[in-house]
Amino acid sequence: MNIKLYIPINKYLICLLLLSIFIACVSNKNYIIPKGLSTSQKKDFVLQFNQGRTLYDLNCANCHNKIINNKVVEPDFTVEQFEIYKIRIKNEPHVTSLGPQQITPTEINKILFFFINKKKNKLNPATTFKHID
Amino acid sequence: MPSVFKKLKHSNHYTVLASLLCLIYLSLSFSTTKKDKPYTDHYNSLGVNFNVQMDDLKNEITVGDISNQNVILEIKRRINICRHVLKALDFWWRYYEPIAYKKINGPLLVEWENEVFEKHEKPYKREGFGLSLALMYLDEKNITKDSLLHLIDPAIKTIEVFSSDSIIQQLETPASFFFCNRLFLLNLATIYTTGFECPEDEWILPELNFILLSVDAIYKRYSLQYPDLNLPQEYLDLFHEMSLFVQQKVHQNYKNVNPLIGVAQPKDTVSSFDHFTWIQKYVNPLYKMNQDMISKNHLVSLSYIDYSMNSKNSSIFDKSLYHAQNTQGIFLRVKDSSAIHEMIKLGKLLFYDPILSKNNKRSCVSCHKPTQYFTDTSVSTSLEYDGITRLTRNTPTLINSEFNHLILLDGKHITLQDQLLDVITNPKELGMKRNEIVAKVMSCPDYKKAFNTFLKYTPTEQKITPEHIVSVISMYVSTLSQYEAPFDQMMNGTQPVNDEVQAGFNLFMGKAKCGTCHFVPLFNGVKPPYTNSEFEVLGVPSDTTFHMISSDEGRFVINPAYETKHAFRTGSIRNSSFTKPYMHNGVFNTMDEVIEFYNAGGGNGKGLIIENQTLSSDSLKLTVLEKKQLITFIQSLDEMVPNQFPPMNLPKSKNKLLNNRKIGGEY
Repeated sequence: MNIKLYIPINKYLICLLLLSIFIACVSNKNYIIPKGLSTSQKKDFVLQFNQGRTLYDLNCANCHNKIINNKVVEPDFTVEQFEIYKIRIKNEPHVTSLGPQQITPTEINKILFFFINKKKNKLNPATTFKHID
Repeated sequence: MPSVFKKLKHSNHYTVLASLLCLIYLSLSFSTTKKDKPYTDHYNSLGVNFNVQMDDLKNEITVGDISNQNVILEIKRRINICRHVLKALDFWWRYYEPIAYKKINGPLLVEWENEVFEKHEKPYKREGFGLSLALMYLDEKNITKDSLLHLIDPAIKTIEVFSSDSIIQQLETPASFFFCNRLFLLNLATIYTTGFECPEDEWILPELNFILLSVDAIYKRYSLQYPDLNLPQEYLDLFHEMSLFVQQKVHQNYKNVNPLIGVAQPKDTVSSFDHFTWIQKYVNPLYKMNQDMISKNHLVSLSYIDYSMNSKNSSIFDKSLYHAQNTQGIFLRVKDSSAIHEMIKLGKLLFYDPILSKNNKRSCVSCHKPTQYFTDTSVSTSLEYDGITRLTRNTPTLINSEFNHLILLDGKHITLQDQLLDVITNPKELGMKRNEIVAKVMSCPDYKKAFNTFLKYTPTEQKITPEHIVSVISMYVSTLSQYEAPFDQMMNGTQPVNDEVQAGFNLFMGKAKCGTCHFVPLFNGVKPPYTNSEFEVLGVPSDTTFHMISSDEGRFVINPAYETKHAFRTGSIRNSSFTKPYMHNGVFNTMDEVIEFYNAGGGNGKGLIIENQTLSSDSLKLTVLEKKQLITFIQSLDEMVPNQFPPMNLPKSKNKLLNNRKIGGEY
């Protein structure tokens, strides 16, 4: 009997844990919602932003995230650095991992959306990030 | 070195040029401490030479009296000198700065840009500039200096782009040489031999001969500068043999072979050139060896023009040559072959399932019949959703659709998935509402279960979207495009060459001029570096009485302009034995009619008046035998696509009203 009781509790606990992590993530949101958006536009904004972030994590974070003072810091890229067909050939790793068979232009645009709307780092990016141009 | 180009730009004085050239020569001969760079130097000195010749040309135009016929002849002679020097630079310039290059060697007609690296942008107009156009302009009446300079000036201004630091840096490492060479080889198979950018047919062979000599000079200097990463001897030997093949032809065909392009007088026309042997025996094996060098040395192209090219491909006649569409859609990153297999199975099921139509009576199969090469050969245009009216365009085959950068005959869509969604939600086709698609499909537990297991492959999505559904369909459709045709096998040497096919191909590339729009190897409007989809205005009539042009405005609907009216994307001629009727409106029922239409010079040749027709209105003067040979060649492009068997049954829905669906739909 005891065992049978424990399983649902464990499941429940895991769900609760996941939920709390989720809430923590959401509350610690890394974006600034532009003013004047309707509720549905806000929802759409958050969806797009999160999609962009996921795609960033999948395709870019490995090389571009930095650990500073034991904290993972995402870089701040500008729109100018994000021309779809130039970013693909910026350097050799980009050619091999950002080809049209690896990521679509729509997805690159979503990553750009993430960069445009994410909170900028407080540190001076010029001194902390040196990316290959 | 780079700055030399620029300094020369504004100078028109021979003395200054001569002294500068001397200075270059001296600086080169005394620079013993500097490492020898014969390859880079060759590039620079050809560039300087071109700039000098262009300035001389401009000077001649500015100073000369263009009402005097002798001055016109002198200008023509100078233009030909410039074209000549340019042919030697073509090897690099076309690769390093393709867009800038078009200002010097521009399209003969106004071009609306739709290259793959620009297809997300609104199309823009690219006016023709450059030497070939200037040459053609000189033959017109009432020419003015301003108009002539308008064609030449942008070319001169563009030259400095080619001495930029980024290009010089690329020349200072060996890698980009192999990508220049790849593009050069692909152009040998497609545009250099067909007269694609040659104002006169008689010049094709002398120009080709000169290009080969120039490239040989480049190869020699490259091997001096980069002895460690050189083309294999086998390559150089075959290249030499190829050059002799052309030289012999030039000696046979021309009375006096003047080294200057545009002067050689032909005995014969270019149509006797054996395009088949040229590609099969020389170009394709050379391409393979160059590709081997790229993959063996893990070379990477840093040019946006190479997006589509596949470095692992080893034959021009292999479907892996270039990549135009993401056939996996939202499942782009899935590599697991068993998951892909399951997705394809699901896609096939949906392809036959009328659940994707509003009335549950139509499916993809309604128009794209698997037994008829995924088109409908029984009707000019298929039925609309209402079951009474007819659509305006002929149903295209789905086979090889993934090798187009722009989808649909008017290039409306840039992805297969957008096109699929368009068909499903088009009130004249499947008539669904976008927001109803998912709920309807997911009402079948089988679909729901399958898609839910696939959700883990799309981490950006929390739930199933219409994109998931169309992506599996495009994955299924893509499996139909992987088959080869007997012609591919002949080119790849896995099947003996058929003489009639060979003769037909030579006509296709030569006298019949088909090859100037239908490019090797897909024979569609995608030419090296395989980054664009071209449109043409042919003047296709509304019916076979040829009383009027078809009212369909084609590309104009998407991008309204004088040039795009009645323009349609060039389709592939592969599998055309099985995909009648032909043209955008299905007006011709046999291949003979199609060839007769082209032979007559399109709509204009048939007596219609189409101002912007891009097809020459002159007759091709094909004989009965030649037409027969052309058809034999076209039939050799029929791919061996295996029969498709419909699914045994469709998934049951929780909504009982949906469970009377017929496999493939009812009409």
